[in-house]
Amino acid sequence: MKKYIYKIVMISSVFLVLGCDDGSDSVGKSQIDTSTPILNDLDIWLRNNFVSTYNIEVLYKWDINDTDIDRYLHPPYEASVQPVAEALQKAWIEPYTTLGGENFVKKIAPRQFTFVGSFNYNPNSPTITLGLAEAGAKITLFNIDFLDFTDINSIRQPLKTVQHEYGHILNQNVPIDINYGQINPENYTAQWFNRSDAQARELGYITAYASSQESEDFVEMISEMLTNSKEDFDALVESIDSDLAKSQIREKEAMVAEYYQTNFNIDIYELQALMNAATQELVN
Amino acid sequence: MKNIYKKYWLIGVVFMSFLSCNNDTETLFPDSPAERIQQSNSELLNLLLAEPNGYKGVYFPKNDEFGGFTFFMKFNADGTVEMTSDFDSDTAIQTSSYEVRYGTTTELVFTTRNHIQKVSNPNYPGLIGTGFKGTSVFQYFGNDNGIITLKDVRNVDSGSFVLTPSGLTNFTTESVIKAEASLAQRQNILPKASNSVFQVLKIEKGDQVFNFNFNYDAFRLYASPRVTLVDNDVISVEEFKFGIAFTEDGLIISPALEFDGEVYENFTYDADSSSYISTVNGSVAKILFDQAPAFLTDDVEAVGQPGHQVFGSYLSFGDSPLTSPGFNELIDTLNQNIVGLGSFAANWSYSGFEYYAQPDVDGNVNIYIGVFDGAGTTYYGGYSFNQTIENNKLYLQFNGSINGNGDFFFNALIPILQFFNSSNGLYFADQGSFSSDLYSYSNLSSTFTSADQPNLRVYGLWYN
Repeated sequence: MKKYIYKIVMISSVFLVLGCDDGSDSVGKSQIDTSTPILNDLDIWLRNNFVSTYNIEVLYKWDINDTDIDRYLHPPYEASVQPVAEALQKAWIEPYTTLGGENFVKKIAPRQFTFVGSFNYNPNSPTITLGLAEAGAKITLFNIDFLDFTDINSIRQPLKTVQHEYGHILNQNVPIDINYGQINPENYTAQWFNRSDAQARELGYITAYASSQESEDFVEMISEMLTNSKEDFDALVESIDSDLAKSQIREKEAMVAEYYQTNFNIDIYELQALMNAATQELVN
Repeated sequence: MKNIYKKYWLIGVVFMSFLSCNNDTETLFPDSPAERIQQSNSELLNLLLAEPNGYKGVYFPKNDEFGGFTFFMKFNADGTVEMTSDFDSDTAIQTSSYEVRYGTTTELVFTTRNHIQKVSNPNYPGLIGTGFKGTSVFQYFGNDNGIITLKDVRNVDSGSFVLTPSGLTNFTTESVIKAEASLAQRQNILPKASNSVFQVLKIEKGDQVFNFNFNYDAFRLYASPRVTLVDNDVISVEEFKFGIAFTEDGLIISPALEFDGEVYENFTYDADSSSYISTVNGSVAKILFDQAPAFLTDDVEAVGQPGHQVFGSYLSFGDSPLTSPGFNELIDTLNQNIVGLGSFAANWSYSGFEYYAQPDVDGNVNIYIGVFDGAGTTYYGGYSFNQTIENNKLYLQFNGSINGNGDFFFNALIPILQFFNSSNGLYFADQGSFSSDLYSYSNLSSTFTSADQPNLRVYGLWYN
């Protein structure tokens, strides 16, 4: 009899425990806000031309965490955004797509751009930062409100930044030939900013920043080649007095061309011509 | 023994089964964190959208360095905001985007550029790299009967942005007029040619009157009023610092001025007396141009002593705000008089003066006033004055000319001779090393202000 009592009590207890379910659904609706944000015409244009097409997000609406919180910066005018985005589309993405194939930029590209309207002044220094790249994933372009689309040199400024950073991203996918750094390693310096571009060229570096280290040297060559016409680039090199420096830069140029041809099957001089033509067309 | 275990086991199961039904969990908040964030965001967004004719915003970006600016903003449900401001003469309404989002707390973010970003423009001449240290991101701090208080995450103690319902009936037409009226107020605080140079903050409470030298920096919209208090023969200096934001009918100071138990914050402009007035509990604070400085130093005692013996003031030294608009008008008058001397003087003009301040045995000093002929020669009219120093003022009593040029130029130069010959004396103050828009010299500089005509002040430097 006692055994029955135990069994009844045990079964009752199990029911009591289970009976604590109050009947509410333990998993309610998601508390994450998944509603579509307000999209203006510019947002829709950017989604259609960058996000959907290339999986590249262009951020222009201010988020204090996108930039250095200690700097005094501000967002761009909305009217400044599309011209800069179009410049990237025409003079950077489309030439690569034409020569590298439809998926070239889709596969290898920074996934995010941030556009900042204001100049980015460096504290305690008479210099400004034109652009920043973070781990090949994000590029920040500053002072886009101050670009002059009647002046090709003004348009080239953000393009130089992008070509430079894109060179790094290409290098992350395909490393550069280690022999590149052996061409003239003797004058690489962390104090590169004490040199002018002209002084750096006489030492065999295409810009002062190129004389900072091998990897920067390589992408500065890419940047200068792809933001100048072949004639302008040749004129720049031929203006160098030192024959040695001239030959060193030509040797680097050949290695950059070889890098593009071997690894991506792209003739960099064709790319240069397409980009230069596109940049010329951007000038109002 | 076995039965005892069985009983314990049984009792334990029954006990747990009852406790397991206890659902009385204590909740601090009725809603989940995500819901409370959503509610806070909605609260601010609904407030912003509740005013069909927008808000008037007074923004002090950093009240320990700068003054502030007045904005008119109309927030729309499509995520756009229309805006004008008194930051500069470009008052046209611009449209940009805004968002209410959750960052460190509920934030109002002006996501694209508009008037508000003028305050954080690092390209602002004179404030390169920082601008007025403003922001585009404002934390929501509360709503008091429709008045929204926002703060800057970087300048949380010194920055504030307060939105008050605009009270406009037509935002588009009225906001720009208001912004321009506010900008015009910024001119009212500056001395005009007819104003005394002594800008003073005067506080009257009961029978007591306290005069502060206002010390206004028009570039930074910032004032550092200073008062000298005498208590039982002990002299102490009390200084305040605050930023100023102008509104269409006056100005607001931040931080508010707390003095002798009263707090002054809002000042209304009184055109009749060219002053800004704040009345609190019967006490009155006024920013005005007074006939005398708030406090007279004894700097004048050094005049005539080594280091204060030869003084020069020439137009070629450059401009300084320490030479008053009134004195510049006096120079214009001198030039008209000089040209009026005859056709030969068509290109002649006043060039400056030199003051030889070391008195002779009779107490006389000389002042030479230069007239440039436009071709390379400066003629000096020399005049003698009897010099005395009394009650911290300099008295120069005109004796007469001391050379032929002095006689020749006498009539043309009467206005400046009257300036020196002020019957109530001249207020004198040392001003540190010399600085103008053209030059900075290590020479000590000083100002002379006429007590008879306190709109006349001239700046120059000591040669020795």
